[in-house]
Amino acid sequence: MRVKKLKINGYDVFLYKTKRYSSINMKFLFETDYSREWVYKADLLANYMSCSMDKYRTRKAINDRYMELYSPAWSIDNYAKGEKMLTTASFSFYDPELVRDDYLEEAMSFASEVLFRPNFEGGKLDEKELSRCRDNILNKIADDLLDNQYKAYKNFMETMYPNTYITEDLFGSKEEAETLLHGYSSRDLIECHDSIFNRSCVGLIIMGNVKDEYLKYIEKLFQFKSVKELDENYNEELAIREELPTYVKETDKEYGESILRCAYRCRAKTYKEEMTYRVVSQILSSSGMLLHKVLRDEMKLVYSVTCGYNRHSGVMVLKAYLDKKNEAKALEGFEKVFELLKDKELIESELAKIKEKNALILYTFDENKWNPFSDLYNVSFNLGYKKKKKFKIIESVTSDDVIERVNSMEKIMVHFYEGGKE
Amino acid sequence: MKKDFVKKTLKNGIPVYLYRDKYLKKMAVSYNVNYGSLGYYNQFYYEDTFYSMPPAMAHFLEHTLIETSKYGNMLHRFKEKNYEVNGATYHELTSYYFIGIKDTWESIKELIHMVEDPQFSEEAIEGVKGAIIEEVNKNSDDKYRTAFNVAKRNFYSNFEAIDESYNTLGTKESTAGITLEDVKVCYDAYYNDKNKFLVIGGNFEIDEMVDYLEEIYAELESHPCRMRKADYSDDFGVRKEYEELEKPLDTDFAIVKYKIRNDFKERLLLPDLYFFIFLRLKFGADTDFVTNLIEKKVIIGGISSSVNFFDGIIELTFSADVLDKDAFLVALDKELHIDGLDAYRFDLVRKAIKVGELSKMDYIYANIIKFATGLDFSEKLYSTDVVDEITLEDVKEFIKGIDFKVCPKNITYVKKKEAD
Repeated sequence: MRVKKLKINGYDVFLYKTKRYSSINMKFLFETDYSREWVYKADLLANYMSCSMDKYRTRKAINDRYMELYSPAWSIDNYAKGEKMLTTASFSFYDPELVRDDYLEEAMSFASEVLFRPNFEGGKLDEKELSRCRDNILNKIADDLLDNQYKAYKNFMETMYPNTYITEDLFGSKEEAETLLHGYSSRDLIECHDSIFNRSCVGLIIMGNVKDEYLKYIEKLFQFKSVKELDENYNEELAIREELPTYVKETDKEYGESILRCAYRCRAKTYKEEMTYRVVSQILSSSGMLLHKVLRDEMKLVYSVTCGYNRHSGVMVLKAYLDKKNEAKALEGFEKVFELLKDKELIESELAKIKEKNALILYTFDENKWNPFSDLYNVSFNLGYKKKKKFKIIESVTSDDVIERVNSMEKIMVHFYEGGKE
Repeated sequence: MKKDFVKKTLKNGIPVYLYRDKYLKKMAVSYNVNYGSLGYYNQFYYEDTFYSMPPAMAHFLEHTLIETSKYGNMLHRFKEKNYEVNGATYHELTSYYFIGIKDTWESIKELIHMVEDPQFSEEAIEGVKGAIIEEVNKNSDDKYRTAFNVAKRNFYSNFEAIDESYNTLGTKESTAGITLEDVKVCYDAYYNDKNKFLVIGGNFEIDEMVDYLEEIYAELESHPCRMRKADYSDDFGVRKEYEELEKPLDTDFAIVKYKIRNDFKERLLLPDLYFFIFLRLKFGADTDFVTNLIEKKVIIGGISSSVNFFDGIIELTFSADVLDKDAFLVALDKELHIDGLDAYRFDLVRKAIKVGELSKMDYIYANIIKFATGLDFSEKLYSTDVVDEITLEDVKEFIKGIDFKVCPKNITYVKKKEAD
């Protein structure tokens, strides 16, 4: 993938030209500091930006214009990256050559309106639209708070990682969320907009059948008051609770199904060790399906069982949905699976499969446009490695490395969210 | 000219839909049976004997065929080859599919053998029950799924669309009680050669693929059709007009279904598109109608809508988080007419549909697999030509032809459960 780096209006632009896809995809990156108060403010603002603009005051007017321009996909998303909040503004326009319409300047102009000119007339946001956006967010939060899967997840995360960036945005109640969201004034939101979208741009990635004249449109339409370099010195490490209970049980009488989580400490000192833990996770779940084979096929205990690895905390979590009476047996099942992970022949076979899978992914990489786009994003802004590099490191992993990592895994907590409904 | 599916019919009568593209590196294959989890399929005649089966036999068969094939568990087998693989049972269809690169021709043969040559036994049947019972439990907890199942059950009066447990998969007891005989008769009835079809996309020569498929089937026993549908009455009413349930929700939720006879002697794609355009123009999140309901605190968020066509019936469904149920229902009834269908907006929506077709090329494997679920509407991947034919007058005529005032209707109202 040949990427050209340019400078437009003082910010970095990473350009990958390809005619392969139906659309031209752009993504701006903005960086600010993370806090609960800030992220919900930014989320409310992002919602508002999609439904009330200075030029197009109503949803109808926005959607009409959107459809006139061949329905460009767009989204503004905020997420935590350690102590930082990253905001991305993504736009996807159908290739003008494909739709046979030289419309891109108009489309980019629309994107520019989205980004820079929300309806802030008279220093105020449109209260009706703001109220609607707020209600939508609150409705989602309230619904989540009553959902057993979310409750189980929340309880687990708050036990495991209290007072960290990953749990900071979890609400205890709908009232708590209401207090926060209703507390934002128009001025707060306008300042938030200025802070993020006028002063915190880190850069732009763009992929597709990009003509030179399109870069001139970017220069004309996307100018920021100031731009910045991405702060690479932020802390993304996730601290585990100091005195972690080894067993936690919560009972929920509203639901019949139980959710069992078993957490293991997986300390990685190097990137290769981290990748090796990812291999373990794949053997257990996606690729090797060891958990599935043992707990579902053999022991007939579960419908679904998965595994996930969090590199920032160095924790691997096995998760199973099951009947409450099978808790003890499922834990035995996990132990059985870990015994299997000491079988060198099995590990070699699974490792070979994973390496082959990675090679196949690379072989068909470009068939899915989000693969190169994701690489472009990660590499351009130093947020991660290219898939190819990750796979190269996995290529060097041996069965001895895997067994060593498995042996170093330490079970630290069992979390059982018991379905108490009769 | 855009590439598209080509239909061939094998000697045994099984249709094959082939999408050939020399630039595709993977092969996407699905084997499909017109048999699903809807209770409509629970009763049937096989060799003139009437059968009334437990719920979710299609789903049970899906698990059995995948997990106890002559090659072992097919999920694991195909995962060994690094495929994306799954089986899915919808209301009206069961689909088995894989997407892969390595040994795909051999895998096509194995997939067909898996479906055509089942290894039913008492042990196999008992073996799959555990995981399915866990799935039954999981589904029971899903409050929205349960609500929609209630609505679906009450929509049809002439057969039990969904089990009385309101779980598409039945109950723990009904699953545990499934016998080998049940499995065999459902398989023999529904997995006949008139009721299946293949979908294959990849880089291959059409004739070569057809010849290969003929060779595969030549080794297998045929499955003639010896079943006929149950004699359901043509009662057009609904089972229950109104039902309330309580669930742990923050806001009440309402589902409204209108029952319409499908008298339209046209390809289903056309009425489907007419409805899509009508619903988008009248009930989209950006319409004055929805905005007013939100501002008046009648609903939160917006209104979801969908249309389903089955057995001569059109099922039009609306749902929303409601703050004032009665006001919502009254407003909905009043809005079901053609007034306000704007010509300019119609052109925009039609443009949006056409443009959406373009993105199919970016997700080609997913669209090849998804093709099976849309076969009642079109035997083509791209519908741009059809969309071009539609006029606003067509949409208006179509909607005018429906008297919503006399349509049987059922309402499911999910009340938020008060905390203990």
